[in-house]
Amino acid sequence: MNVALAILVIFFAASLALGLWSRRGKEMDMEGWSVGGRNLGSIIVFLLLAGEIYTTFTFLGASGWAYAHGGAAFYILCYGSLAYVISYWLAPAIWRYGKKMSLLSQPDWWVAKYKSRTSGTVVAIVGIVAMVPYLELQLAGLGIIVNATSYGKISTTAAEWCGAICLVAYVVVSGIHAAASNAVVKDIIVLVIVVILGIYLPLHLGGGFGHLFDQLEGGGIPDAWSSSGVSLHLSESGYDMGWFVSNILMSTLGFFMWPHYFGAVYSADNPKTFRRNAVFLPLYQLVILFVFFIGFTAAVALNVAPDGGANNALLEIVTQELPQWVVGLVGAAGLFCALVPGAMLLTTCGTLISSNLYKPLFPRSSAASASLVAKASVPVVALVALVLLFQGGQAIVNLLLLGYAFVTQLLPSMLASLLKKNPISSWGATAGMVVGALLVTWFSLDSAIYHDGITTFGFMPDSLQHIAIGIVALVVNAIVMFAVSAVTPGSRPAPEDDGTDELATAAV
Amino acid sequence: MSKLRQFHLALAAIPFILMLVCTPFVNRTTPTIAGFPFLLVWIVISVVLTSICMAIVYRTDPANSQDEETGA
Repeated sequence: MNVALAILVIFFAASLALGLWSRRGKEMDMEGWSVGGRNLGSIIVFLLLAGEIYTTFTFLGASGWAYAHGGAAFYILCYGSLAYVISYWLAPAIWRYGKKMSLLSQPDWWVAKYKSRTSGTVVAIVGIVAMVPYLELQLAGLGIIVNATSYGKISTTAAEWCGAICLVAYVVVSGIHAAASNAVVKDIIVLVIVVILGIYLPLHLGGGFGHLFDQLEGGGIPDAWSSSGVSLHLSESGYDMGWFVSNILMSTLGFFMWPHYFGAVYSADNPKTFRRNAVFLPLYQLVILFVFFIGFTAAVALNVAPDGGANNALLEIVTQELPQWVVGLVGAAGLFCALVPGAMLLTTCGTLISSNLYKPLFPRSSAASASLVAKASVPVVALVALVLLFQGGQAIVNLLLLGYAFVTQLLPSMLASLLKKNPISSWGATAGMVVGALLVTWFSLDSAIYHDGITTFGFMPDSLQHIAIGIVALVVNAIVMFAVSAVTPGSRPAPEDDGTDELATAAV
Repeated sequence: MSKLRQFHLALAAIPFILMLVCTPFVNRTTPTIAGFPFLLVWIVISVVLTSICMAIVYRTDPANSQDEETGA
């Protein structure tokens, strides 16, 4: 056994122990399991919300993007910042209403706001369809990282199974607390590793930052860059300004529509947390800069393209250049990057299935059975993700893009429901979302759009086309929503829901 | 809309203007600043300014000096 493998095993065991142990002294009814009894402190909520920034895609994807597409990678920094600006007002509004109505899941929001279980079920299905491929990609990333950093001693398949079993074990036992406890370790190790490598590698291999960028701008520009017009600004065809701006806009809007984002928001103990986070999270994600630097160094230093494409640039350069114990730590960081979001996703899937699919079918079911269904669905979802993962290579990335386009379809009726007098009826909301989701499916099945530019793990790879899909579907979605609302009875606020403008109260 | 609310929205708009409206005009690698390409420096400064804008919003937002929400 080499040193890297030993470090990986130690960190894996630590993650499992931490996840299982985090249950201690916690109420484990549905509310405790799904949203931590709405009692999580500000640091944990900060890390859960930041968890979205540092997933395996950032780790492999951002470095791969910098390696393959140069300046186009900068968009990742932008959409995070802008999304957190919006969260200053949006997150407290979601939190306040969630607490008042005891909401557990994202679809519960629609059930409560639109007084319609059907709309909740539609949101739940859209959410699950979007989350499963997201989970798949976390597991796939975990497989790649563990395989590379163990110098091939552990196969990707074995790593994916171990990761999935570990996730199921601690999510069933501890729910959201598993993600929360691991998030602390994850952020510390990722921060340390990324900053150190992001400074060491450019100095060691690139001859210093100035020299590194000098080379990339002219003298030593890599062949792969010069042949496709890549540079440190936006110059590659397909990655122009229109791509950049529309991509940032769509990612900013889609950011909040992921079901597990709602789960993280509900679990906070105080809305002030979100406002403070809006100040610090933009700065916090600047750590991604160091990931870019690693990718840029790889562009200069790697003579041959890494096996498996640009995503493996970081792992390739790390395993080539650094001692085993550092490689082991990089692997450990990657492991946590996959496991924490994975735990969030699984908890959210379980909650959605129990509250929004099982409960509407069996309205008189007990609280105990709802909790049982939530936990029982965790291994099922994990298994589905694994099976899909083993079946398709490239296809899953297409599914992830589909997932992003899917969750964005929830936006119009979500925004409308924040208004004091919501002009949208439950039928309008449901029809809009269904049409939007179907359009996205149809567009993506009917054209080769998703087959281009999807060579990386990047969060939202190529595609003005992809953005166009999202926007077209979104516009049609909104039109249908208003049209159907005009001819159906509106949703009257119930007496206990005084229909106050959540956003206004949040911001006054 | 109150004066304060307008002030907050104006501050929140600054990052959007810096990153979405201004980027077409700063899409270049030169001049480099301490060796770093111009576009990268622009975006990093924008991110830092985002935090500064939101810090001002946070400081001047009366909601953050009240505690009523905690137990509500």
